[in-house]
Amino acid sequence: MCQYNNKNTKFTLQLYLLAATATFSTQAFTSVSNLTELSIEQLAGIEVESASRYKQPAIDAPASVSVVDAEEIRTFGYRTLGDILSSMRGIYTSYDRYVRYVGTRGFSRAGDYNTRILLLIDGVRQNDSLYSQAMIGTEFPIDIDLIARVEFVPGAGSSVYGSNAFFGVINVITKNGNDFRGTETAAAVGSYKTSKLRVTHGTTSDSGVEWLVSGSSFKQRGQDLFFPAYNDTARNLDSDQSDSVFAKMRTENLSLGMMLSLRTKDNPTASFQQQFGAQGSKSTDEQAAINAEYRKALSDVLSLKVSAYAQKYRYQGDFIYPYSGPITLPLRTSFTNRDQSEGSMLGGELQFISTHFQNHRIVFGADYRKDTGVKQKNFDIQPYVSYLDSKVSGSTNGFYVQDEIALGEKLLINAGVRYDLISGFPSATNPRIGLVFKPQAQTAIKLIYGTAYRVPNAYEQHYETATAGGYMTNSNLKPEKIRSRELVIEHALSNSQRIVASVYQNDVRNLISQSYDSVADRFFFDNISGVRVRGIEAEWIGRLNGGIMARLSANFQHAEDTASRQTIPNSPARLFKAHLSAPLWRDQLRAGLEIQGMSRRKTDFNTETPGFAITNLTLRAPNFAQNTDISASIYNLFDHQFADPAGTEQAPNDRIAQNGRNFQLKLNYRF
Amino acid sequence: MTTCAFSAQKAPEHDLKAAYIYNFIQFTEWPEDGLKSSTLNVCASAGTVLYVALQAIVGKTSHNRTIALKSLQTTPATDCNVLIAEKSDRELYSQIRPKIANLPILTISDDAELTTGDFMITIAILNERIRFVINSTRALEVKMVFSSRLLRLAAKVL
Repeated sequence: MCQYNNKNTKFTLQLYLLAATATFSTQAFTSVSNLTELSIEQLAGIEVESASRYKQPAIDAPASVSVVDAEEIRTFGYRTLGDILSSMRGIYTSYDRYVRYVGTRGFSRAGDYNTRILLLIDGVRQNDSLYSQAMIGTEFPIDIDLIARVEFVPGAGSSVYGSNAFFGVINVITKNGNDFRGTETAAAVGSYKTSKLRVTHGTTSDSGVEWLVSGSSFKQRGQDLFFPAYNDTARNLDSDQSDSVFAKMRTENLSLGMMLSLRTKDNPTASFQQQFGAQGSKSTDEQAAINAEYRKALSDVLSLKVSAYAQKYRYQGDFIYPYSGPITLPLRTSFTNRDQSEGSMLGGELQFISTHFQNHRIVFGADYRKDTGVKQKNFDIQPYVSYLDSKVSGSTNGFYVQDEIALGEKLLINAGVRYDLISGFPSATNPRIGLVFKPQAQTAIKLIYGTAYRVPNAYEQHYETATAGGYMTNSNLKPEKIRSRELVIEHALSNSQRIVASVYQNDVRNLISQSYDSVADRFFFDNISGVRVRGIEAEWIGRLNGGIMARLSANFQHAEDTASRQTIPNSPARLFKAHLSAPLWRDQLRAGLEIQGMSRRKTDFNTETPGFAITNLTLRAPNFAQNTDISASIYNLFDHQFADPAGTEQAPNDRIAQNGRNFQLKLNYRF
Repeated sequence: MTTCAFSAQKAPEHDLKAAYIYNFIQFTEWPEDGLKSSTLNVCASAGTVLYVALQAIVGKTSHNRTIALKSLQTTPATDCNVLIAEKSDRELYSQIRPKIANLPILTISDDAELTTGDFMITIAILNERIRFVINSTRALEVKMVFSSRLLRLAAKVL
């Protein structure tokens, strides 16, 4: 009957991220005078950059990476990974009251469940085996307070990571036991009857073993939302709840991690032609994951990393439809159709980094991922009618090599390629090459070229319901492909100011989109469209006197369908972001001001959502009382009304209104 | 503040140690007559990487005094309020040691192999992090006290 959404999978590794970004810190910005302004607790969180480790200053990284750290997360009052991402240059998010979508460089497809972005937590792939979904909203499986930093590398990343690293790679690096050293609790309350509680315990032993255990619970009653398309209000249908547990152990060579999360969201939008305002429309996403990583230096010039992970993902969606069958007693006015899916993935990776040859740093490795028990069911609960009961499995083997070659002081070449053997699809080969030219120490010019692919996810491949207006499968469905090109200039104006500017072009081929066969009266997925995005972006970052930090960025871009030459939906031509953080009263009170703006966006319904600018303000007293850190945030300070374009499954809604002015009060207490 | 998109999660070893030393000074209580001069004198071996890094804290204020950096080779040890010994200072330190044994001087060792018993704070690196051991017994002998905030972060308190 009804269909629902989509989400998929493939595996990965992490490495030039680790090489390029963990090392990010090395850059010129980390001046000593900044370090001496840190509290001793903050210092405890900083790692020593060991001389033996291969160093790659950010300016040498073959990408224009964005980084947001824990300090900024608190200063600006970010509540979800989506909030963090949308503060980065070139990124914007949209929300359909179920899932938060991320858009990068002018591309965001409402309803694609972020299948075109690869999400890593501590280097481990998170995109699940059903929808290959990157969860960035309240559905993100770990508490935002446990994030040490988030890095985003735009552009094609399949040369290292394989499928799904299509528009970019998000790497979330979590905190360790050493960052807590004791017990910490956080409590937050906010608008829409929101409450959040976290308890974290972290330890480090004398021998250097770090443990971290944390549990969080989030509840939001939500709002009664008015939908113009129905001229009606959906009551008690916006509640959002999530619970999560996170544990991590780390020694010098070994890391172990565990995550559990459960998120339930009521659905007020009557997506997929449900009965508007009906109670019981909701979706649940559940995840359990474990991972292990072992690192060892085999010699002075060769290091090894072995890792393994397993993830189980489960989804359930209840959709409420008007009942039109035979009359029964008691009288029925509606029935529930349920989507139920689950899948497991298991993977492992072996990676070597060699600096055996002078001026070469070679990274090579292999990884394997298996998706098993990928089940999709769709049925009416009462009376029971089954429309779909599918079970599949698949696997991917990837092999990659990357060489970073220093040609003298001024030129660096970073070239890599990955070969993937994918069950059910042709093999894929994806290269990436970056040239980094440094005419002087404070300036780098980078030329980057890469390709990436995405295998259709299990939903796109196997979702099939034999009803009028249902879905049929397409045996000719192929992976979609992207070619990205970018020219980046990074320049340090001084020790405290830096600019990054970039010109980019992304060409997407065989984009998987939903089509309709009017003879069969079925929807299906097909590689029908192509998209070309061209744009420029620039960012200025400065640390000014008196502890003031400022960051300004702007994007100008055009994303068009290559066949129709029309601008694609949900693609703003202009993005603007401003961040300012300043001490208001000594070390006792700090303000974080954020402005995010974007120009109008086309919707899937040939209408437009207007452009807007939203202001968020956070005041934080890090030493409010002994061991107590308190912050107060007002989001959408000027109560501006704005909306995000809706996906086609939201018809007749062409847009989804977003939150007006709302607040959060948060308290952290260390025992 | 690290409020910057490009802020440090890693930092050069000696810069980080200098920042720690600055914090150690702030969390140490000297006895009433312990700080005699108008400057707070930090003594270390001139010419080492750490000495260069320590210049970042010169001019900062702590305990109502301006921090000054002095060469361990040319300054009488008795004029030091903070004394930092590195590996290369072993010999020099063995000469200084008897002269300062009963003075309220914050002694910090950046040489994990030097006997911790002698130093109030010993710095070491473990798992790429700075760790430190506090010998509060030694400090109490000369009426110096560390704040609980510092003790809580110590890897070990003797």
